[in-house]
Amino acid sequence: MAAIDARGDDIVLRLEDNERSLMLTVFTDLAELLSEADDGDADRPDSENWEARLRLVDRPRPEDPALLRLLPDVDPDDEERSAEFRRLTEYDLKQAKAHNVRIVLLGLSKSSDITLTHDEVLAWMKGLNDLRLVFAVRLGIDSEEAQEEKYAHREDLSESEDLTLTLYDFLTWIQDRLTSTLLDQAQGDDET
Amino acid sequence: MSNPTTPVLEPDVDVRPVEDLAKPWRTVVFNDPVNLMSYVSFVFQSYFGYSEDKADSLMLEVHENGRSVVATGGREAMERDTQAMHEYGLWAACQPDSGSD
Repeated sequence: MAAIDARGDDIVLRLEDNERSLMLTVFTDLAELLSEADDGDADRPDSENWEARLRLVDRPRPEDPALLRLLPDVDPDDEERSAEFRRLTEYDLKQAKAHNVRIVLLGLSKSSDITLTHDEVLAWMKGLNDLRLVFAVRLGIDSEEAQEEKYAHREDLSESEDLTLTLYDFLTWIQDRLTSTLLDQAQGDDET
Repeated sequence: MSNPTTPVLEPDVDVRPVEDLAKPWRTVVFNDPVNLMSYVSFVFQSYFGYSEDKADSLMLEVHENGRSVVATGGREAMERDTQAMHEYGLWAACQPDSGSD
């Protein structure tokens, strides 16, 4: 069973080998989702799309609902302003998210005993949140009622859905523990 | 004597209407079943610098009312805040402040 403890300003995360290899797999999938070229050119990843970096071209609204949840409209009520904002900012947002995922993968690749600095913990929390958002979309969890329904009728889930839900719960636990440990550390700093 | 007409420059740039600059905008965070209450409160504390009490009450407003206005101000500042919320994975929007809530 995984464990999370504060050590000074750092946080130490200990994972079982199977937990670590599962996390490596799903975070690698997230890295791929975020690196897909949005002009359909598989030979050219987004990071080499200089027109996008220079904000010269419109960026299409993602068709994959999971990617759209990670890169949402700036105002769902204003299509035109959302398209302009997407052209100006989506590249940076996607790169920031991909950077967080790289930090998670780097931590996971070292050992099962992972020491994280404050900045690394932030990247982990954001990366875990993004992956949970993707899982929720894949599972059809779009409301609190839908979420309760999934847990209430677990026996109706397919094997792969059931595994995704188990992983989702595991990632939720890690994210929640990292968040509360960071909040405790911040309060400790205030008192000294 | 010639009588030149005044040249009119029409720069091809996106000029925002004047009223946009004065009109206050707002950053709204919406509820979703994924974001953890602890995490949402943490984001409000660490990004906006809100106290724990204020962050918690905004977080509960999102949770119970489905949405909360977490900041108001000029358009660019609100766009920046919304982009930051999106980087944290919160579901947020930058909207003109109609004063409806």
